[in-house]
Amino acid sequence: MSNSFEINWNLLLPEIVLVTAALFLLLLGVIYRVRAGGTGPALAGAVLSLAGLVVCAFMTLAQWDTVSGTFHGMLRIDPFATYFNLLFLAGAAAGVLLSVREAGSLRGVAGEYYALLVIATFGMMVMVSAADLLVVFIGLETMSLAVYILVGSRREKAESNEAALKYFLIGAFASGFLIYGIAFLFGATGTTQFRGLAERLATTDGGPSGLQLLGLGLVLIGFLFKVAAVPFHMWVPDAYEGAPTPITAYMAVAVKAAGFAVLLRLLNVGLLPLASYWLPVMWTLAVATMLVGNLGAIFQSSIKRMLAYSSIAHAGYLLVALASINPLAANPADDRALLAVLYYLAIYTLMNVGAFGVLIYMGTAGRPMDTLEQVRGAGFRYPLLAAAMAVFMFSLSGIPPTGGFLAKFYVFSAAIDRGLISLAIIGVLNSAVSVYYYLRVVVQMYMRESEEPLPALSFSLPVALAILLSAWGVLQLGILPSCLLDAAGRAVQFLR
Amino acid sequence: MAEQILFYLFAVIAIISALSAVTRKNPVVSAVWLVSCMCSLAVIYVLLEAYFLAAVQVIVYAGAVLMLFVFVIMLLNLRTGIIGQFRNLGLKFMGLVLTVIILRQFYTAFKGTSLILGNAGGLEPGFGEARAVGELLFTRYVYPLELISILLLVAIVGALVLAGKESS
Amino acid sequence: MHNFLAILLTLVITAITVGGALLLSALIGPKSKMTREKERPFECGNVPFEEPGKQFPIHFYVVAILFIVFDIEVIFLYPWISSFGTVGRYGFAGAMFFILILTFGLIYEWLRGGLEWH
Repeated sequence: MSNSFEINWNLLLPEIVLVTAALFLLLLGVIYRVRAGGTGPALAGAVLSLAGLVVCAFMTLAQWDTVSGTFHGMLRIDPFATYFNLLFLAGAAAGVLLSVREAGSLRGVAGEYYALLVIATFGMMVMVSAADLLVVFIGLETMSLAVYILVGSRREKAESNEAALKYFLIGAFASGFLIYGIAFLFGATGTTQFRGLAERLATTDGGPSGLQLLGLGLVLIGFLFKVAAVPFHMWVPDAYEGAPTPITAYMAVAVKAAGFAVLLRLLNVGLLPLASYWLPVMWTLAVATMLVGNLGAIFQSSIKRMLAYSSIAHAGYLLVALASINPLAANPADDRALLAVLYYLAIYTLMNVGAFGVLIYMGTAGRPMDTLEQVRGAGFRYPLLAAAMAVFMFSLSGIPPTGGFLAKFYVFSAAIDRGLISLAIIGVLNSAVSVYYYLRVVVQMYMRESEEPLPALSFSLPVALAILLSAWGVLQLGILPSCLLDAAGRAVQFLR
Repeated sequence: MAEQILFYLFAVIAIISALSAVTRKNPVVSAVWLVSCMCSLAVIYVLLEAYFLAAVQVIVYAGAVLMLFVFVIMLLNLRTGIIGQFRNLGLKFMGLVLTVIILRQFYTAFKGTSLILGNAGGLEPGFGEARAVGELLFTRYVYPLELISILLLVAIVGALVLAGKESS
Repeated sequence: MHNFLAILLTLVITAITVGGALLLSALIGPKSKMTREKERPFECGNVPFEEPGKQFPIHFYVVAILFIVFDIEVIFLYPWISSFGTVGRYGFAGAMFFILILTFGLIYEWLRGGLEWH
């Protein structure tokens, strides 16, 4: 065996930065613990992790034109990976900003908390820049394990523990499905590399074998658990409700985007020859996911739970786009379904960060903002916050001129392009249903009087910054979407 | 021929052990059945000439992980009968339906496959031994290996965050 | 494969010895009812004063999980040592990074107080 393996370390620089930042955060936690208590560690942790994320983002941005692989074809950096890496970094930065206010309740695990947030992001980046199912699996596990721990990081709260346990058990079950499916695909084709998989699947005589389809099914189940598609969504409401709110926001945006990103790469590279088998599955699951998500959200009185069901519904809209992928498109950049997914996930990240950010801002230490009754009268007491919340709710329900409207427009027009008229109609009807529960929040804020006087809120720069940036993004990209669409087009160009 | 007999013998033992592990009411008994399942799998790995994997299977799974399982059972103070309270007829029915679907899928996947096992031919000498595993692990698969070190680090952090003592 | 014949034989002989002893005692041994006296610990055991499945502190669990992590580290290093000559500097660098990260984990655990009992 020769010793002259060439490794292009530059491709891995962003990941190395993140791991280094995480190691420093862990050290910071233990050293501060020995020296002093108070909110010092939490603040230092937030600053350090933000610095790490920003440096990493610049390094990722510098890779924008790179299309290259290394590590024996295990790692592939292309604009698709870079696009999603930036999205994950943005989600993680939002998670850090939203966490600063609640840092006091971290009870001495502040260093670990931020370190895990950074490592989870590292796991996502590994996943989306992987060219091999094994690396995808390890990245997924790194991300999931870190997020399970983050969900349960409020040890003194029973609901946090419960959410972590439920999420962990179901997540571990899903990982089992995934690795089982990978084993079957490996058994049927003899490779775990995406490209090799596509070649072997395309050249199977007489259509795909039962083994290959079994592998496909099990792998899909594994990922559909992560993106919370029906019928693999049962964990979502409890896990989202019990987790600390900044982590809920992080789960809703980054974990979901990571799941969709890797699913998109897998379906468009490795499993593309089986497209005629997975497209109908996506169709069916899209309908079921939209229905369950939207109908479930109507009956929620807790806003956090409502947003959990809303995240299921949005997974449904994204599955509509996956069902509309054209496997024969000569240039993937012309496939509007792919563009729609990338645009949707970016906007979805902004809307959710904003909505959870407003919830965090409106809550005070002794009185977390949760139920619909609690936001009554907020439109008069906190006009700016309520206006931002209204923007996010309009965007989530898909009302112009917000990004949410364009996102849904692109998804449904992609479906119509492919002749999936009935799917598009079901999607639009679902979207109409969703207006009811999103606008209910706005109605409560502006048209109802609060029974007790709402408390004065202390100003929090990081949370305000996250809300402001999200609101600006949602409006800006809703009116002038072209720069994001161009980036998305470039991202999918080298996908296949 | 001997390999065929051994394979089917230990495959059946593995399946029976796995079924017993999920159907026993006493969690400790389940854990013991799981040991039996893991050991039978190790034998099958040996038959596949994956010797290193077989050793790891016994050391890590049948040894360390099972010990952890028993620890958790003791930790939660699970006793016989606790599991019986969560019976639900509807869930059982759904489980049955899903089992039938999955078994049908397995049937279509494997129908036509000969029950007589083929020879693991064409393997290089030394295949499946620690040396061969190492040669792959530290060249072709070195990237996943490094990622695993970070995964293990997360496990350490997680254990201490969730179960370590509170800082004073 | 044939190296494993000895293990298989051990397994078979163990199964025959234990199973045979149980079977024989069941077949030829005198049948008698369980009495209270028979359920007591044999010869030198103490009379139990509580049920065995007692709940115990979570700290055991932390130690156990940390043990497993380093157990797995050793499992990964064993193939490295076996193939040390062929994987060369490349493998050496890979193993060193692996050890470095997990040594960091050990240091962290130490500073965090995960190794202290009280």
